[in-house]
Amino acid sequence: MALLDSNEWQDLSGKLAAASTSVQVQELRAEWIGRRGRITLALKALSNLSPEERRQQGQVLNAAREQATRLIDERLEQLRQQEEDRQLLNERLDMTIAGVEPKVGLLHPLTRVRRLLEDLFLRMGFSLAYGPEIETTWYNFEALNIPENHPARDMQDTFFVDLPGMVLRTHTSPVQIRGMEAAAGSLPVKIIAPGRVFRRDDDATHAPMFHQIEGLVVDRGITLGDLKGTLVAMATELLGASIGTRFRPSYFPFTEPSVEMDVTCAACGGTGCRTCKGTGWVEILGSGLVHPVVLQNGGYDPQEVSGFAFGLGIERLAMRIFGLDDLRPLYQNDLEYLMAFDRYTGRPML
Amino acid sequence: MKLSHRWLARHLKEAPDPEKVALGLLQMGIEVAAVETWGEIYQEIELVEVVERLPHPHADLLSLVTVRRAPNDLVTVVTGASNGYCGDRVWYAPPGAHLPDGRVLETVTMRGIPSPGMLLSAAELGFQDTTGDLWIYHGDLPLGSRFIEEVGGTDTVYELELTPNLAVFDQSVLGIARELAAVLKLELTPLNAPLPYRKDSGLAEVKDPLACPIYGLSGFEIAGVKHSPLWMQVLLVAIGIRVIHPVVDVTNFILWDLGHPLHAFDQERVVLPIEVRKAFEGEVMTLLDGSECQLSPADLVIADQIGPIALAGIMGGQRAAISAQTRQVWLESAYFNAPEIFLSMRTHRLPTDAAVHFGKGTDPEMVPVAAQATVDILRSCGVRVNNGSSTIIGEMPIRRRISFQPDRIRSLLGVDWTNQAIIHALHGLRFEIDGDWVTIPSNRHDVSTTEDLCEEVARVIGLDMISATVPNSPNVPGSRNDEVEFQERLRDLWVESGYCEVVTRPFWAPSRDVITMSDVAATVRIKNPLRAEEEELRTSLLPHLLEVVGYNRARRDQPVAVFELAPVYERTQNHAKEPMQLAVAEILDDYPQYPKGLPEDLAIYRLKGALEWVNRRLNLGISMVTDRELPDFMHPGRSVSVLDTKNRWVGFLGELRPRVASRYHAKRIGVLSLFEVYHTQSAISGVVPSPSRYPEVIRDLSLVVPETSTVGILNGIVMDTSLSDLKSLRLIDVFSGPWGRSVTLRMVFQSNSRTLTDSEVDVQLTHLIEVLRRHGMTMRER
Ligand SMILES: [Zn+2]
Repeated sequence: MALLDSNEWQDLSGKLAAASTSVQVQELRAEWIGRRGRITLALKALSNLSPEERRQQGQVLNAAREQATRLIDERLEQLRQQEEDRQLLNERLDMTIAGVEPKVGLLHPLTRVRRLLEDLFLRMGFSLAYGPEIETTWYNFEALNIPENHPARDMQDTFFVDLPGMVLRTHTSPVQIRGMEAAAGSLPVKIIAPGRVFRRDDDATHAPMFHQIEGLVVDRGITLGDLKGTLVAMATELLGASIGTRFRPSYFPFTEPSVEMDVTCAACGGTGCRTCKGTGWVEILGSGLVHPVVLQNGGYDPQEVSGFAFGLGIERLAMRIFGLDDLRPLYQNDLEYLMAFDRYTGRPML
Repeated sequence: MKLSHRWLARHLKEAPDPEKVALGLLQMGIEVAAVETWGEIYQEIELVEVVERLPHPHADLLSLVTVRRAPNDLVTVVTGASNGYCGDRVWYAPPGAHLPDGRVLETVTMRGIPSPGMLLSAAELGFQDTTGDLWIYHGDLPLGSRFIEEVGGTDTVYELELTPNLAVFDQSVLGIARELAAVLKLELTPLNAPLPYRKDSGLAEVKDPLACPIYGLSGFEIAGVKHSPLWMQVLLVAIGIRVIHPVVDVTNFILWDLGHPLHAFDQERVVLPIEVRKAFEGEVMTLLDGSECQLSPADLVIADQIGPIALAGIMGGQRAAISAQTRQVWLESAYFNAPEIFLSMRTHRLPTDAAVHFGKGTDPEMVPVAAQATVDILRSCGVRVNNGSSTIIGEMPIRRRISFQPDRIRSLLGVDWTNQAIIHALHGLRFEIDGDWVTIPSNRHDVSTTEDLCEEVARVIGLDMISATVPNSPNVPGSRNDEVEFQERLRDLWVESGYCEVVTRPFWAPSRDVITMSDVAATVRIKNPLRAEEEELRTSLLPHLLEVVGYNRARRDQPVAVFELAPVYERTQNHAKEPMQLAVAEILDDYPQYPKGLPEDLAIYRLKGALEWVNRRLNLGISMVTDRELPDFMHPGRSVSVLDTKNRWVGFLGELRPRVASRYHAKRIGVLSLFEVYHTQSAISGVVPSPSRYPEVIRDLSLVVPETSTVGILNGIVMDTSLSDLKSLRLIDVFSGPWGRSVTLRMVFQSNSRTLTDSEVDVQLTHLIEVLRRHGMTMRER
């Protein structure tokens, strides 16, 4: 048999192109390079030729065989691809259907704000301290310079319980005394005390149970300037470097002097609106230098050391961070409401 | 407290404008809750002149009065007033004008005659006068003038909120003026001279000089008393006080002007001498407001020889009250011991203006000043005042002194202000410094220490002048304790497991029990609950959590999976404990969704799996068993008890009985209640094994097991057989057929030292199958 001429090549290419299944291609493979294929038979027939001719034609036929193999393989691969596509397209899903999100829950917004504050103060070197919620009147009032019949006791409407001398604590300030007692005279005392507190009050901005964070620093030479510096640093960390702060004289029985800190109103940016009663400022915490009586009750000598304390409401801060105007839904536990806190909300990142 | 800017200006030689006043108040720590303009409605009221008066054609008691308005308009209105004749000048409110009582005038038709607007009486304008039905004007203002001009223009009225310390000395216009004088460096108008009390005998006796250190009584005959001067009426009305009777008005005025309450008695109704004493047990008095007051020896009273005539410093009694017929009065000006008045006020729930002043502490030096001011005002308005007898009992207390420690003030504030600056600031507030001593003004009962002085200095110089610094304490890293760290981790793990954290209030009441978990003896009760369903503190978290489930379920058909980690409250005799509890609740019902989740029949395994995962992650070391007694509200076939490492019962997990779940609007609810959350934790132990380099051999084993057996028993047998190369064991199928219960386990074999051959694994399996056969578990036929 002679060399494959160009017609024969065209015959193969054409047939391969016409083949629409791999079976048809395999048939062509058998016809051309199978055991009884045209090229295979031609190669076998070479044995009748002289060595010179055999060598010459052998090269040509081998090249032809390689080329045919390549053409067939290529076509085969092409068809495989097409068949796979056809098959996979049969598995088509409606990819516009919403995905199945990982089933995770969410921390309560108050937990998130509490942790944010705790982490912030931990970075500033404060340690966490705790006290009981059912508290003695001594820790809740007397030790904090609020004797019986003191007008300030009327400021905090107290829940009384049927245990002698016990109340539901009205603030986290008793932990100031407990914290100093636990420090047992060592310096510095630098604690924050987050916790639940209770007041007999229930409306859009007052809940009978809410959360506070109390802070206390006691050391030699603590000043009102230190209080300002610490709280301004906190406000900046919490609400951004552009936040404005101001301090006003105030009154708490357990601090002297007492001051309140205001920050620029988030609703209007400080120009004045309904939220801030037109002042451009919103109060966020009360603070002051620790009253000498309180230092004494905690076991420290007010002539030797001084300190500052502050308390801020976690709900109030949550309301600011999340832009809430009513705190009651925070305790209603409507999951649709709670899960709406799943998106990133303002600064800081929560 | 309300503050009138016009009133304030009486005490300052040069009054700053209202905005500057507000800034001064801010710096002194006096909160301005609201600012309003008083008197705007009076701009609509015109001065007119009566030009004609005719009887109403259809009504005997009405008249048609034609008045001239400036420039020369005539208007005829119908009036029932008996005065107002030609030439009289009266105040006219045209249609559209507003009256103090809220009325807006319009043209009304009276007995067939239209009447545009109205001619006004003094009362209709909010004042008192005695010229008759209509307020006849006798002044010099031209026709067409507005009433606002007569009362001196509009006024700025501040609503102030005073902290308890400021209430001691700032509850008066004088108090505020003194604060502003200090901070804005203004000069005060001097006060009038004190009343020169005589020492007449037989008028009064003070039986309790501790409760009443100073008692002044002066008698006046008052004549020609009709009404208070307009300027004083204006000031009182501006801060919302009704004008009543000159003597009452003057005492009200002095109370708010000087912060010193006074009281007047009708001389004819008092049987001298007056006694200042504690009430007798069982004494009763009718107060001015008509209420009966049950007195006790804790109450200080002013009494005459018949009985009490006033609850001292709080409210007068009806018997000796002044009336329109009163001709002679006893004016009481006293200084009481604040805590006693405060207590009485609280006991009788009578926070009168007098009580909230005396109860906070007043200025003893005001006793004769206030008395003289009363006389001066009554005289100035044409009331004939004849001084009668008078007496004052008690000595003026000596002003207290404390040591002056400017270094300590500087070190507490963290400032380098000079002594001079500090002294200047204190002077501004009337503190007197003499070498090492500070003399405290007689009204500053709130100041007794250097710390108090710090506050005064800081207020006057300004908190803004203190620079922000950082404490120079060594900075040690802060820490959470292990228990709290554990709790936070526990919260995170439940959130990661798909449960939403909720925060519930810890108040509870047995009336809310659907499931009963409380131990009555251990319950702490609230003595003054807000409402009956919050009368005690919870002893268990689960009931609250189930209410959350019900609340959400009642609103929408959505999955609910919630948890709370919070304290509960228990008592043992007179002590309280607040152990932390964890509760988890989840609705297991199928709900419409695509693609489908775990079928509701098996959904409890999700909650169980979550606890198993948390158990592993936190190394709690808890186990779940089925052979312990469970609360009666739990599904007996789908619940387990939770035991700690010492096999103590620390909780339970499972489904509620469907009957109970239905109370929360669900078919099936899975719950977990875990007590002693932290202390179940076992020590961290063990190491993480290195991964093996050799291949795994996997064999699935399908077994038919007796109906009485469980997967737990099967697992136990496999584990007890201790196959040397068994790495893991996993349940891959469970179902029941006609031949019994079939369980398929996937067993993974792997060695750390070599590649396992099939025959090695087969030897181990054959041994296992032999062991299982002895427990009645056989290979399932294919
Ligand atoms: Zn605003």
